[in-house]
Amino acid sequence: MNIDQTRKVFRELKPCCVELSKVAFLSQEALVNHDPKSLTKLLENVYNELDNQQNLYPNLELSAQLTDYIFQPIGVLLGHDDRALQEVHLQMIFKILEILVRRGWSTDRSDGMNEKIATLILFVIGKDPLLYKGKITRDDELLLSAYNCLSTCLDNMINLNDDSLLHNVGKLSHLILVSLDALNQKHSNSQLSVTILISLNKICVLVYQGDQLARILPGIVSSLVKTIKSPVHYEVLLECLNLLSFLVERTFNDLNLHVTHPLDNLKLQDLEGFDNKLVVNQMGEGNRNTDWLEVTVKQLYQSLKTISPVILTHHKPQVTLAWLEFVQAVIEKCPISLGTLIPFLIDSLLQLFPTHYETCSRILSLNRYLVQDTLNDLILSKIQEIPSKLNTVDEQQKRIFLKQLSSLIHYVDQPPPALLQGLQNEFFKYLIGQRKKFSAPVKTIQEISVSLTLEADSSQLASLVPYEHDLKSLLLSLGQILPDSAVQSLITEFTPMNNINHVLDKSVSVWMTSEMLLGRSMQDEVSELVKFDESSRDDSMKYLILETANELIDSCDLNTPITQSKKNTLLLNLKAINNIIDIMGSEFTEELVGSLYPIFELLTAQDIAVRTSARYVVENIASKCYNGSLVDLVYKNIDYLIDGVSSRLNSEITPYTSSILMVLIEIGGVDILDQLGDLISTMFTLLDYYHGYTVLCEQFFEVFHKLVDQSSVLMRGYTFSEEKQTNTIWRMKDREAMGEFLTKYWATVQRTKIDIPDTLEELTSHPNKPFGDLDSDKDSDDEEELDINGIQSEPEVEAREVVKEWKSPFTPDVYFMFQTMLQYGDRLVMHDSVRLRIQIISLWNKIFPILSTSIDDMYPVISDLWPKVAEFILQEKEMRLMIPTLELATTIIQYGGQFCCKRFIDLWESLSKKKLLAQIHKKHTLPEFEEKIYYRLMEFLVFSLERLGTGVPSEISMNIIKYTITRIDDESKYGSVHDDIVWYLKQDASVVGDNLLTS
Amino acid sequence: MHTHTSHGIESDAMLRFHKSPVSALEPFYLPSPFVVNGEPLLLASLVSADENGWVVWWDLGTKRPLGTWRAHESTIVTVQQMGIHWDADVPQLHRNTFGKLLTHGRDNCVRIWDLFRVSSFSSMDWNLCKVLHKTRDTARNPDVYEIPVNALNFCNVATRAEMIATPASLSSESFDIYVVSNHRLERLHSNVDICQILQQNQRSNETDENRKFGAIMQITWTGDFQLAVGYESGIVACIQLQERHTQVVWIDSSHLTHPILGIVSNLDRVFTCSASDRIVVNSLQTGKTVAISKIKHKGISSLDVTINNSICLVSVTTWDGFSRIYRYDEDSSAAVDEALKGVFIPWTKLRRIPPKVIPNFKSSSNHQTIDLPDLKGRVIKLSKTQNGCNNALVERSDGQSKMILRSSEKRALTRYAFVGYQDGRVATYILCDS
Repeated sequence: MNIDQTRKVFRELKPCCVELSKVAFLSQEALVNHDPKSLTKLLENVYNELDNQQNLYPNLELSAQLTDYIFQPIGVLLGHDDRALQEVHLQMIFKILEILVRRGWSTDRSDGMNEKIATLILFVIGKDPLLYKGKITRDDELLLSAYNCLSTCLDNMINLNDDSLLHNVGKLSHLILVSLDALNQKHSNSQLSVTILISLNKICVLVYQGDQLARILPGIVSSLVKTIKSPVHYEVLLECLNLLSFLVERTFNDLNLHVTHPLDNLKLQDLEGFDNKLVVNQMGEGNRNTDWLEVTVKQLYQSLKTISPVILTHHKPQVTLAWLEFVQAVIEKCPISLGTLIPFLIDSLLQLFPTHYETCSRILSLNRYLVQDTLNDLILSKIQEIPSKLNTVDEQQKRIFLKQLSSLIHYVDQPPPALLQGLQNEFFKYLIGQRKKFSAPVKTIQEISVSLTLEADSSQLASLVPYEHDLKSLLLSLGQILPDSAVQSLITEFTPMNNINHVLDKSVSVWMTSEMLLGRSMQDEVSELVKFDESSRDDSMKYLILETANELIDSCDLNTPITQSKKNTLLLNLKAINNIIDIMGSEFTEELVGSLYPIFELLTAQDIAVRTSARYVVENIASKCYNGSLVDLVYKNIDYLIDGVSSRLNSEITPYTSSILMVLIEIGGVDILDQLGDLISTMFTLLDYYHGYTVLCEQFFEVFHKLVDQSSVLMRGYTFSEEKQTNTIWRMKDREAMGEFLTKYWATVQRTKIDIPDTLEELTSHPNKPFGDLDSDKDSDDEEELDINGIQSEPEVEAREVVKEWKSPFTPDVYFMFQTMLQYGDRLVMHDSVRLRIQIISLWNKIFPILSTSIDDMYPVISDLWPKVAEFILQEKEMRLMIPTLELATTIIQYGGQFCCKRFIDLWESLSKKKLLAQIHKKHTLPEFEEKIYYRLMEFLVFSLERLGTGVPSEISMNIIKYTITRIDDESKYGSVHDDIVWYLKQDASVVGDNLLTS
Repeated sequence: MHTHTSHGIESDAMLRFHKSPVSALEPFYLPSPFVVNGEPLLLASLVSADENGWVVWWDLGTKRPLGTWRAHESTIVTVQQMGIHWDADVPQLHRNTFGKLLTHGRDNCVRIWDLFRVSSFSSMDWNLCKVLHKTRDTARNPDVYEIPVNALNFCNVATRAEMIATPASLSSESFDIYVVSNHRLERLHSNVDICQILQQNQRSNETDENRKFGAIMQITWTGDFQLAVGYESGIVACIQLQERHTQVVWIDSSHLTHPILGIVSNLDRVFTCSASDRIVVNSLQTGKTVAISKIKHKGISSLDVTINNSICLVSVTTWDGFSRIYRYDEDSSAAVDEALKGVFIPWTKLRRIPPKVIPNFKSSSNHQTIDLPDLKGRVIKLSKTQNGCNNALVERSDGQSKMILRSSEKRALTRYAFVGYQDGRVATYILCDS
């Protein structure tokens, strides 16, 4: 600052200093009686002006004269006794003094003012040492300004190498004592604690000598522990740790202590109690001898043990980093003197490993030769702890333990084999223990089928234990470190713990090995510290795991209820397979031959966790091998899947075998239809043999339903031709058609006369058939045609030529597969199971649209099926069958058209003779279900009238409408042929409801 | 996933490709990177053929085709791997022809296909040929040779080393012998008629001029220059080829009046079957009949013999559609006749059961007859495995010590029974060691 600026500052400050002086120089009595607020205001003015000036001039330096000038009234004020100055005055005074100390007495011209001010602060806060009662009575605001000022004083003293404070040990210790008390009092302002800690830190820096610090160490550490344990702001924790680091680093510094070897006979476990052992050989200098070290190390260990849980679980990363710095300081500067504590410190490091990987690695690489033994010992003790640690109730503790192990294995020469075996045993024991807790309920096939739809909840790999994630991380790490022989040992040297659960036991080994292999495949992401011998890697391990996992899954009988042990076995092996998929990626396609079907089969397992896990694995295969397309996965591997189902159908048919087929059809859709031929044949065969097993029949018909549903996709582009339906019997729509027909007819008659053999026609129709087959087919076919159509066989030959071209969107094989399904339904429709009967009738209803794609093949089916439908409508006592039957009848009329005309009329004749109908008709209200059936019957009749049109004589239609009009009076629904009758009847309402039997 | 079918045999997989009935099967052995007992290990694959001329080469590891092509215009009667023959469980390889496949169809053609080529027999380096590229086209041109043959009857064609025996071009009652050498095809013997030879030798009074054996139905090699020939009349003759002339070693008439449908030579024995229900076993050296078994199922249309763990297994398919496997034992106490010491003990029976639905919807068009699948077994073959061939004894030929066989490789080392069905499916069964 130049002289002009100094003058300018002086000019600015002078007025408020003068005003303050006027009051400061008052007598004691006058000052006591003076308005305290006025004094406060004056002090504030001085402080504010000083603050303004320092803001104005960032490099403000107050000259000695100016500083003295400002200090003079303050000094006078401080000379008065306590009555004159209130806390608020002192607070302002310390604020002013802080600026004066920083701006005016920071140079060697300070003339000992820093020490004086520090003494003044000590006096104000802690009174005289003799009168001090261990309790600070000043308020927080005052303390804050006082410690700010003290801190600045200490800064100046450090910078000026002013050790005057150290000469008076009593004063120094009083200052420390007062500061620690201030620290331990409860404060509303965390900034105060921070400032006190900063001041304490500066005092320690000022003291610097390890010997002297050793004296104050216990007191400070004790206070720090108290502070850390209480709920405090994280910045307080940071300062505590900074102070602790400095103290420990200075006090236990190996170089400073001249120690060359650690306390060999003092181990960490000895520190647990206070069983004091004397060390014979003395070391160090001054008061820091071996006895001191031993005792202090114990105290320090107890303190660190107390604070570590707070620090290590703190959510602020700054705090854990400060702890890491503390550990670093110890390992770097005091590895010998504090060697006993190193296992504990490394243990704490390991807990923080994943979140502060790099820092931890750096720390552990310091003084490696000294730390290595500790690390090796540590892992051995950890292995011994596995049973107890993994059996605690506290899940958090288990996780921490596993995390520590994960980190530790990176720093030991070679993780001992006992580690793997220990983990395997405990995990297995845990899973065995689960058995009694839970037993999965048996699900029904329907429930399973519902959950198998592609829209089901998202899939996931179910966790077996809460700490599985941490165990997995540990195994991944082990996989990156261990040599092949160790990784494989779990499987190749597998010895079951007991014979009863050896499948589960082995599954645990398989899963663990797969995790280790996965870890190996993720090698690139691992620290460069980790080294392994590349040449020792054996690629075949993944195949062994896959094969073993498949065998273990295969050994689980899915027919019996899934026990907890079986569930765990399945989940573990699914996880193992999933890991192998992750390892192999698209290469896994080559392994699908043995693996795909067993996984697919688990999609139908009774347990939901197994199902969702299986689905996850299936999706993972699709993702790795087929760009995420499940359809591609199924379609391109349908041979394996069908072979699997086929094999099950032929050997170990279970109630759940058909559900997997449903999954395949659901995913593969219509594209796989052609490939299902022999599978469906097998199902037909099984129906032949096992039609007494209701569940089996129901499931098979579920599958048939699913097939028909999927096949309807092929119908999208196909429109049912109305033209084909109207007058299709002779395919004559008008007179011209009649003429054409007659011409063809006579031409045929002429040909017959010149004795053309019948077989010629047959040959053209059946180019691929052997003679024998044709001969046997011929007669019966012709007879049936006469039966159905009532026309002669020769014109029918012509008709055949017309339909020879296959126009159905379905291949003949598929078309007739559906027809065969229909026939099997025909056989089983009188089954005891009502559910099955409803299934069959609904299936028929679904199949008819498919059959209609080849009309000439549909008519014989109608011909055969109609009597049964009519019988159901007329005589069936099981009311639940009525609605599906009426729907089926409606569908038959829709697609059969005029072909069904006479059948419909016959049905009506029979129906009308039933008294029940008349009785129902007379009732105005019916129970809800019966009303539903009755209304459906009316709908069927109305639809038939509309569909058959003129095919139904008007007298009959009149009678029908008399009934139906009571429920359906919208004439548009009756079609153009009958709407006028409806209209007429509506006009003459009295006719409606007359006794039908009279007509 | 294997399902237990019967004792000693497990159902393995159903191979689905053929659209028409399977007419021929042949285990096809490939070199591998493994050795067993110091000898190169062969891995089995399968070639199947159907009545529509299609050939499918199956990888038994993945159960998927390595190649598919239409080899002939009509039914394929024979598929046979060339360049390999088995002395019990020891394969003998012939360098010139190993890797080639012979197919013989009723389109009067024998074709020889290059499926793989061995570049070094010492290291067993090999590579697949172009036919394998899964092109489903009609690869009509054989990669190596095409021989017009007489295929009026259903007689097979047999090959051993570089030799091929076919029904004679001029007469169904005699045969021709070709030799494949230096990429040339030579006819070594032409129109060999055994009746004529017998007459010339005046061996027997039975072979008077009026007596004829009928058309040749089956032919097989029993040694490097030795053949067994089965006739329409039921006669089986064993003949020795010599440079200038041919010698009849023995003649057996146990099947008399029933056409011979299968001949297999194994273990110094010749097994024959016919349209009757008999399986006859003759000594290869003397022609002496050592076993005659009536299996009570007529029409044994397919026959194969293999040694499985020192047990001789004989497989047959019969006209009732069943495939049966018998254990053949010449040391059994069950033998009733001292001269006929061989005994056939039923081992297992395989059958796919068709649905029994009877169509009741009468047809109005040709499409309406519901074709229920015919699940009859047509042809059965047993694969062979080398002595000591199990996972523990197999080693890598490159000397790598750490080796665990992949499951697909293990599958190729398995002992199989293959059955070709009328509906075009090929079922594979695993013959268990137990």
